[in-house]
Amino acid sequence: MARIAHDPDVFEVFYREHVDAVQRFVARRISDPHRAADLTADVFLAAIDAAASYRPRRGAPALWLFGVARNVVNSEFRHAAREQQVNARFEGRRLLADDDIVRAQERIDAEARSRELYAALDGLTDAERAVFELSALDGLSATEAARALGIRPVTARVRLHRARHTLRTELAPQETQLITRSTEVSP
Amino acid sequence: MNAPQRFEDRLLAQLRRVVTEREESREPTHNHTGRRRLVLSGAGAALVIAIVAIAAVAVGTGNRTTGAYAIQVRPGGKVAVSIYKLGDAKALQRSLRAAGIPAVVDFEATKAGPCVVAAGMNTNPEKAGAGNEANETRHLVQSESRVPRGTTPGAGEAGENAAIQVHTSTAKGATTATISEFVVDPSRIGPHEKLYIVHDGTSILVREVGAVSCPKPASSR
Repeated sequence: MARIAHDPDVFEVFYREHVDAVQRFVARRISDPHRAADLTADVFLAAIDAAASYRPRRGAPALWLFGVARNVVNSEFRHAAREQQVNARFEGRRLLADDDIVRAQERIDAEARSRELYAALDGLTDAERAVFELSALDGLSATEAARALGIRPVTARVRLHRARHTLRTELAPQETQLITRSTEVSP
Repeated sequence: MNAPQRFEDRLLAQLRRVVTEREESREPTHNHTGRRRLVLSGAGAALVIAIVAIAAVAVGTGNRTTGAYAIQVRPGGKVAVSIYKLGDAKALQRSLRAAGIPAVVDFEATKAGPCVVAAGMNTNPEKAGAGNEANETRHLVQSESRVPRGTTPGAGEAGENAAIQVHTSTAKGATTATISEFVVDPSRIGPHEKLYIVHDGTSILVREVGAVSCPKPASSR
């Protein structure tokens, strides 16, 4: 994995394998195709920067990349100074053509329900939210989410449980159904 | 040769260029990338020292895990620190510094008068309350020296924007009880700041302090 940061061919294999997943990951959180393009680029730039820190025992590269992607998207949401990101070396949106925007918009439309859920998570603590997002939005199991976040599986399960509890008691019944359905996929 | 047709292709072309340029200019610069590479190799070296020094059996295969503590550099550069038992302050300090954290570790702070002041609560004497996030004590955390059995994840956590986040927890399946666990973001520690990790006799205190002089007699450098 560390080689993706040094060998363009190795990087290309990695990129082709994961670019769709990253774009969907972003579309579950962001409704603007231009911002989504920026963030997709940022996620891969962050992955290049962080490749040396990848540890196989923590899980597959895809999980690691979800962790990276979540950090990138989160810092976008928090307005954590963009210049503080190592990555803002070019803007993904400059690479968008009209056709790309149409495809991006389709992807974004398809994830509308996920974004509603994403927006409903504000009542959770950051820690709970991290696990819940990866589980309910991105379909990871609790163990996989733990790996993506670098926490222990038991910790992830407890946070997930708390998050579900909070959401069940605070959200409207319609959203609660969605949450229940989404999270039941995870073991 | 056809020009790339889709966003994904154009992005790939750009990213390939980034990787190529990285490879071509491998001399360390002040950017995070170079720093991280140095940090990782430094941490590897510190690991060898730590293992030899304390002859502890590492938990799992983690290359920065000893019987007394674990240091893990995360994607994005944050560093997760777990302290399992007191002792080996110097080894921990070395490993933290190798991981890019200007740390002062002192588990005998009670014997070092001024250090207790530096490490105590609400004692940033000169500029307390300045509210300048860049220079001042941004976040003060205290984690219990003894964590009850069972799990209390999330207790005492700070916001992700703080330089230090604390997760005081004990995993049921863990072979060792974690005394203190926290995450440090080295990029948020200012050039003249240090991270003090001290034990005041009852608890481990973790604090990030700017320009506080501490004689640190127990673990000087």
